[in-house]
Amino acid sequence: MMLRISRQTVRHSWRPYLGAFIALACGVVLITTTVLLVGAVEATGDRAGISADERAQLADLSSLFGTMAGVSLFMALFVVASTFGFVVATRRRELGLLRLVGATPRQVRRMVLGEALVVAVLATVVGSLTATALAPAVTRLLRARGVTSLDLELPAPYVAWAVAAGCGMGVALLGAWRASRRASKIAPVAALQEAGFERRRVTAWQFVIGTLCLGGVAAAFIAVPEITPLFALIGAVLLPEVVVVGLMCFGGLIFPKLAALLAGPLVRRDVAARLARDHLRTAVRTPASLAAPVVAISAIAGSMILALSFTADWTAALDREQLKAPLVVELDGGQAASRLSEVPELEVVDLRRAVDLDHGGDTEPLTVEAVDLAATSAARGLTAVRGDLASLESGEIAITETYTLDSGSGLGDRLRVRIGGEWQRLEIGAVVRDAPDLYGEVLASPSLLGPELRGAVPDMAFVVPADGVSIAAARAAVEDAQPGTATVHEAAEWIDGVESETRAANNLGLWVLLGPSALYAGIAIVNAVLIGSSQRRREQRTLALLGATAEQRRRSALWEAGLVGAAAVLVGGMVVALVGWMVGHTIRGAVPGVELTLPWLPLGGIGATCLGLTLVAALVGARTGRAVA
Amino acid sequence: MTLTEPAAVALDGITRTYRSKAGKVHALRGVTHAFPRGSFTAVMGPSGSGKSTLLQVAAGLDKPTRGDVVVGDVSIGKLGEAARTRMRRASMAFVFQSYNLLDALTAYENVALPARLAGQRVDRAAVLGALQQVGLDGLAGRRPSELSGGQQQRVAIARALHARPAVLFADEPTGALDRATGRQVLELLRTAAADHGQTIVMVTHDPLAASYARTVLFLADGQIVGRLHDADASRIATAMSELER
Repeated sequence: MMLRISRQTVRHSWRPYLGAFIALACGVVLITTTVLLVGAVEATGDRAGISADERAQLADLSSLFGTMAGVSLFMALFVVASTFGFVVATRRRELGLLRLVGATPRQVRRMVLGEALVVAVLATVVGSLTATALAPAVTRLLRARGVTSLDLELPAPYVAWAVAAGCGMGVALLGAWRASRRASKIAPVAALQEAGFERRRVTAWQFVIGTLCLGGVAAAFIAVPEITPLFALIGAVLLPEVVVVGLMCFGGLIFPKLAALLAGPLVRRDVAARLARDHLRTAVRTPASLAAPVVAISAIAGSMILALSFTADWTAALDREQLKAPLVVELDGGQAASRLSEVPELEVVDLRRAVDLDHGGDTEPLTVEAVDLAATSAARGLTAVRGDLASLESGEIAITETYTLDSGSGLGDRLRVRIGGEWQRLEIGAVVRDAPDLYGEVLASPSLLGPELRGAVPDMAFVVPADGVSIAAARAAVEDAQPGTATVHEAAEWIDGVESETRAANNLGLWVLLGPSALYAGIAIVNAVLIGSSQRRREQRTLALLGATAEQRRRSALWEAGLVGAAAVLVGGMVVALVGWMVGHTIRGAVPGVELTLPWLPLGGIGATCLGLTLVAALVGARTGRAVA
Repeated sequence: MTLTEPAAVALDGITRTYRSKAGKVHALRGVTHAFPRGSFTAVMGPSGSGKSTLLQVAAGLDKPTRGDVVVGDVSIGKLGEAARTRMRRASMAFVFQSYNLLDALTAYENVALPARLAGQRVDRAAVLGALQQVGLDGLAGRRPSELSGGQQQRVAIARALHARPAVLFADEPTGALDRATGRQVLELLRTAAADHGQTIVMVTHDPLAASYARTVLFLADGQIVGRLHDADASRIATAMSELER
């Protein structure tokens, strides 16, 4: 019975559910595509004659789509929750009437969850079919763009459809859960009440969670002088999420007030701005719902972009600080390496060679770099921060500070690897400074790696000219000795190149991680503004009767959305600034004098896009409202 | 007061106090009244006299600060939320000035809704019969947006007739209607009481509407300050003028 009412409600008034439908359908498209691709990767990976590189490509592809689908469904959860929160708030009288004519709280709850289910079924059908139709094109595109060199065989879509249906329904029900609880608490007497002022009430749970989140972040900032850049970078990824959750708990208090405050200087100049300010003073749900996605995307994406930019600055600074060799040679094959060793103008030729060692079980192989201690110390400034590098000569290994943090291993611990078919437990004798572009995370002497090194071809050499030989002369000598098989760079130029490659790779990673989030934030922004404007129709009619022109009403809607958007961008910007300060402060502490690059363009782009979307949606909402008024 | 005669709804010493920023608001002060079975009672009074609060408390939609409400022989105050819902579904119906129907449902579905919510089989002929009784035969498939205000009001009455509840609460049921449609609605209410033995409690500010009731209760400052029986519209209007003076 309740499902029947749910179906009729969604069919009769579908507009408010559109945002949730689009969000769910996008998530279902991505999850179906992911499962289809994972199936294709499995089937293709089982084919004979697939190389390790091709297998790695396939694994990367699966995890890329998996990440995008995961992020999408997570974000869809919030859009569904926001949509149904609105739907319940705008239908208080209707739900009260339902209670009045005899629906129990449980029946009302089932009806709201039923509406979520109806939307989820529609989104699953549309999303699954769209993804299935697009999948062959996606595999062709992946091949055309060189992401994989293999022809992927797509499996039958049934498993993908089943997984997508489960995820779609699960996300929809989970998202609508809180709203359905709220709906079940609406008293029958609500049927007799006009919608009144919304109360700015922070529930006990919101207060506790909000205080814990914001208090925890404050504690993290107090600890800033104590933390390393690496911890600061991890904090830059995690803390904004915690801040956003904390801010959202108090969203109904913060954003209407801040937006009304921003309107202060404008109210004397424009009556529409005054109307918007007055409406903001009494509204709660619309400002909070609109601010949530804006703050989330601006704070989280902004912090990530800033942190990754500072990371590139930090690693480049570490490279600059440690790299002693004035020339870096990119080698093409083992012959090139041996010819380089015969160039008399060079005093040090420090070759970069790495091997992948079996680490046991199903774990990824461990990449260990063979280092000649004397050469690497002279050319790449290898220095121990703990332990003794001389231990490399006696069969021990060295690890970087980052590896210590990632693996939890330290001085005296042992790593189990297979060398030449024999399992060995290698003791960690030293911990060295990070220099991610100069050397790997685990270092050993060539003699320890012995038989494994036979097939390892050096890809890079860091060279120091002999006494009395100028850098230019050394460079010319290397180029003469390596016609066409090596590229010689001066150290600074090489570091600049590596840094720009790092930034390009960071941008790709950001697109993968933030692309779906940005899409969902956009959907959530438009959704909140449009539902909010549909709520104001009655007020718009009254304003029209009181003599407000269509232009004044449109401007008032634009001011209101713009002010909330600006307040949210401001708060998001403050979070980014705090995170930036934390990361910058720790990096400057570790590498004094480092120049930090502020990525103004992408940061400004995020703020401008959020504001732009808000204003466009407000304009569309105001036009629809004008037609109704 | 001792309630001796059989009553559909009995209010015993009802006080309802709200807290507001301006202090305490006494909406009802010790109201005692029994609505006999099959009676048609109009509740009148100036704005803020407590009419709507009385209706909400009597229907169990609002809890009294003090006192007890007895529906049939059940004290509402002792019932939990689910039991109150079941009782409301079984023995009460409501008609308001506006917003009586669910927009997504047709007239037929709105009438059949209480039975469906109670998990009962819906007798199609009975639902259509109720719609016919209020003059809406042929409009069963229309949604509220496709009906006039008077037609919507009559669908709500058809819902009440179909459910055959013991008590029908009406809050300004003719407030948004023209005079002719208002009369039709009032006739339907009077028929429900006279022919079907249903108890009607109607809040109104219109003396003409109140004249359709057998008894008129006058409220002022949250207290019953007068009663009239079988009075015409002019007597009721005079009594109201006295109150508002």
